[in-house]
Amino acid sequence: MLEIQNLHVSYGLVRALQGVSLKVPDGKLICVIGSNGAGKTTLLRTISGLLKPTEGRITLGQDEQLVGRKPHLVTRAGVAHCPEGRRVFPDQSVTDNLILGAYTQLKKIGQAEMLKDIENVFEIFPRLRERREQLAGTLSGGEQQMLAIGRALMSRPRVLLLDEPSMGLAPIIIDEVFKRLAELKARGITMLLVEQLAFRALEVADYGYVIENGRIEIEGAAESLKNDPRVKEAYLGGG
Amino acid sequence: MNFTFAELVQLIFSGVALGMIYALLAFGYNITFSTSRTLNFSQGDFLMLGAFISYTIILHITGKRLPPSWLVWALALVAAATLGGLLAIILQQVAIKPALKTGSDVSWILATISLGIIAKNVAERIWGTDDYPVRSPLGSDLWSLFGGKLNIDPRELMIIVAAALIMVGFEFFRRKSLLGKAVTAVAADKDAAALMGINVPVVIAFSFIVSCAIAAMGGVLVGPLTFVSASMGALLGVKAYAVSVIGGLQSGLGVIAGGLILGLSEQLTARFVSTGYKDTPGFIILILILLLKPDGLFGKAAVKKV
Repeated sequence: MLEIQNLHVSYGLVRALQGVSLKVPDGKLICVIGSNGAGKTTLLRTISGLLKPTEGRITLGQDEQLVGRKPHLVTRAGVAHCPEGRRVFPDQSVTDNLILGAYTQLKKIGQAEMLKDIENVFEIFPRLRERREQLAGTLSGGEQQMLAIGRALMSRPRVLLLDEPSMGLAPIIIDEVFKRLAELKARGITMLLVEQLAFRALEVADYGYVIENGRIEIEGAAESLKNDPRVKEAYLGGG
Repeated sequence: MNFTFAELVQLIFSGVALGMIYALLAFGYNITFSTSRTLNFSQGDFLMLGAFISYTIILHITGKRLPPSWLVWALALVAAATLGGLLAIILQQVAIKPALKTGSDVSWILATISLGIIAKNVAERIWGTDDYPVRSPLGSDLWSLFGGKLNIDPRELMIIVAAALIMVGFEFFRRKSLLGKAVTAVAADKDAAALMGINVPVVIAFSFIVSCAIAAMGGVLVGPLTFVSASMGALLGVKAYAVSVIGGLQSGLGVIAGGLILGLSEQLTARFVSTGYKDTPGFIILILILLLKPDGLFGKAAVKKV
């Protein structure tokens, strides 16, 4: 369970988040939808410690407070962040990227367990197995997205943050990405998904939040949000 | 023509040895530049300190007359690398860390240069301003090959072999070990590396430790060839920086090519033109590269794939 209460973040005078509160219960896929610049990426970057909030609480599990922790310690606590634009390590092989994903785990679980985790990722994303020795920078956009998600899974996260996994991908690839997210959900992985493609996100999510100008404007079960006239008008374009 | 083929081979050999020293220092510049976009402009003075450490250890254990045993030499090498690494922690805390926080380029440039000047002054206080000879474990007698047709200097051979081992060894470490992979990841993308759980400031500090330890080991290698003095590092440091730029600051082993270009051009110019002009071609090459290929011969252009 990840709980965010009254989160405020500013870039200088610009107030990017103005009191965002939301909950990500264990085993659920929660989505935050909203247009460009609404504060979606800011939200995820603040959770993972890359940005500092001016106010608010981010609680993992019962009482683990994440505000004020350095990013590597947030990852260590069990929050994996699959960043906007994928950000794979381009000069390193697919396997090396996955090993780096297990950076916090390797000492704990040992080499053999980590290799099992890599096999696991290859099972979810078979294309990565074919490309295991290839440099990540030479992969297609869709493959890089799969790698970025797989890399985040390698840390055995309690919560997985996904920042616009559809960005810059062809529609057919987007279909595949969302199919995989549904599979991860079926495996019981807790996820917080941030997406511009509102309809697609609501299709896989259990519960959704609509963010506008740094505020949560609407929230509800994904099914009901899909049919909410305000959401339809603003984000779904009738489709 | 008053030179022979054998002489030419020996010249090239000396140029390669010189180039490998430049390459070794430049390799250190590249390691820290890749992780932090900063570098240690007192790299040459770390080389000087390494040379003095080896001089002092060899003088106390072996004395002046005999070449040191390999054991003593290895001890000197380890001691120099350790001292270099420890001083790197101070350098990193004092000169680099504050600059990375404020994002000011001027401050780390001036701070590392200042620490270099301080190191030189401290060395002058301890060892004076004289030049000191150091013995090599291989001795200093030339090795005759092909029945005396070709003479090579074992000290130069040692520089070439040891510098190559150090650089290839680090590249191997970078590719195979988890910490090495983390260094590459931090070089590529600090935020993404932090999201993997990598403690980025620690990896940057580690890169400075490696870089300075390598420079100090360079001093142990070059000492027997050039004499050891408090001022030996300054020009070497500047030339190695040129090599770094020629090879490409992000080029990994590209520095070897850069080092060989500078080392060979110096030796050949000294022999066939004039020793007074020996540094000129290298710096002309540097200027040409800055004009025509600013990322260096083997540098990666800043192209991003979307």
